[in-house]
Amino acid sequence: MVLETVYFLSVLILSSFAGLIGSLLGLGGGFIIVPGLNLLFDIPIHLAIATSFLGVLVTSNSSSLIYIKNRMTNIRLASMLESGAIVGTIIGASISLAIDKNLISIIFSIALFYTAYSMNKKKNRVEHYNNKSVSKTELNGKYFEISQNKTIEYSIKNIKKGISFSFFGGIFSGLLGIGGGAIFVPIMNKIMGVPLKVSIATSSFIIGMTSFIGALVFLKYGFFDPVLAAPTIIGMFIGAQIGPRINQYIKKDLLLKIFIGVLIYIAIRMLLNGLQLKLI
Amino acid sequence: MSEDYNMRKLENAILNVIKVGLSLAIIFVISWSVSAIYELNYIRFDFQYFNLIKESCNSCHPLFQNIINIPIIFTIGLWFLFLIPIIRIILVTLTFCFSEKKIYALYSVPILIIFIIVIVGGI
Repeated sequence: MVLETVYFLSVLILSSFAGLIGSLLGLGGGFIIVPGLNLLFDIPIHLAIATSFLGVLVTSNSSSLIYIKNRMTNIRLASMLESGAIVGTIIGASISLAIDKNLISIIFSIALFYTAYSMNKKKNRVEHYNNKSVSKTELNGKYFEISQNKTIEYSIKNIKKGISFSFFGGIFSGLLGIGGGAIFVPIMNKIMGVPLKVSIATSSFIIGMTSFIGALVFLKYGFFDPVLAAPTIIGMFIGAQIGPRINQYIKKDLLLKIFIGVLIYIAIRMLLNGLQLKLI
Repeated sequence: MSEDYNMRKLENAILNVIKVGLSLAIIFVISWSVSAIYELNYIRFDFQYFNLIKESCNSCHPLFQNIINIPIIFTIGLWFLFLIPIIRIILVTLTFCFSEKKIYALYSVPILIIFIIVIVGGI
């Protein structure tokens, strides 16, 4: 048999989980799929990164469907940040192909620790935006906030800074095969003053571009296996479809706590893997 | 036409591109997976004309050489997936170029150029 059913189903379950968690928490899912393939299926890290890019491309497009329909994506802002992020992704992917796999594991574990830390902070934060602070001359936007039942207007600041930081976000995205949601969302939210929901929606849109470029760079160097990519694409699509539908029934705080725990565990495993140490 | 109307049209166009592209990509990838699991050789193996392309593509760009080594059904699915960002950036660039606020085209045109360089060129 060319494609073993058990292998196919195992990767399908892992990627469905990655797609589900990714869509529930506003991440691409690459943070789960890369270490998952590397640690559970013993897939070489470069191939896992290449496969992750394809999966992230699917989740990003799938969640963008919902966000664009709800008019939460700021396409102008996305175009600006994409210009920096794409160049960064090409550089990051090229670095990733050039450096040692153990070093990638170590960098990945640091990124995982950072994500766990930023998620822990995000869980305790409450956002307040009022329409009075909006400057009409800046690149501004608006979205409908269901919880407050009103349209929120916002303006965007530090555009140059945002583009520069998105370049570095692109480097990390290309280097590690992650969409970059964990990096682009704080850039927009903290540095540019964009509301969190708009940041997540716009980040999903940007990830569609960075993961495409990353996938092309890895594909050029032959890092592609259809036997691995097929269940990943299908699984992440299924997960990304279920996520938004069960979003309102899930206790986000509990989910975040569990996910932070899982991230820390994966980070430790990846770090030990990178240092070539075995877990006792 | 107002800027808001242009943006709504752009959003609708992007939504349609994603819907069609993603659906077709998933259909082709599932078809290949089923054929690979159940060894349906007539779907799984490359068609004869595709082998001819392979033979004549020995000196092609490495990206294309790697793509034509992927099973054809999967390749079609993959390209539907890849077409989403390509069409998306073309739509965004065209909208910005013909809108009042042309300044945004300054950001999307370079992305389009980078796409062309990566796909056709040597990165």
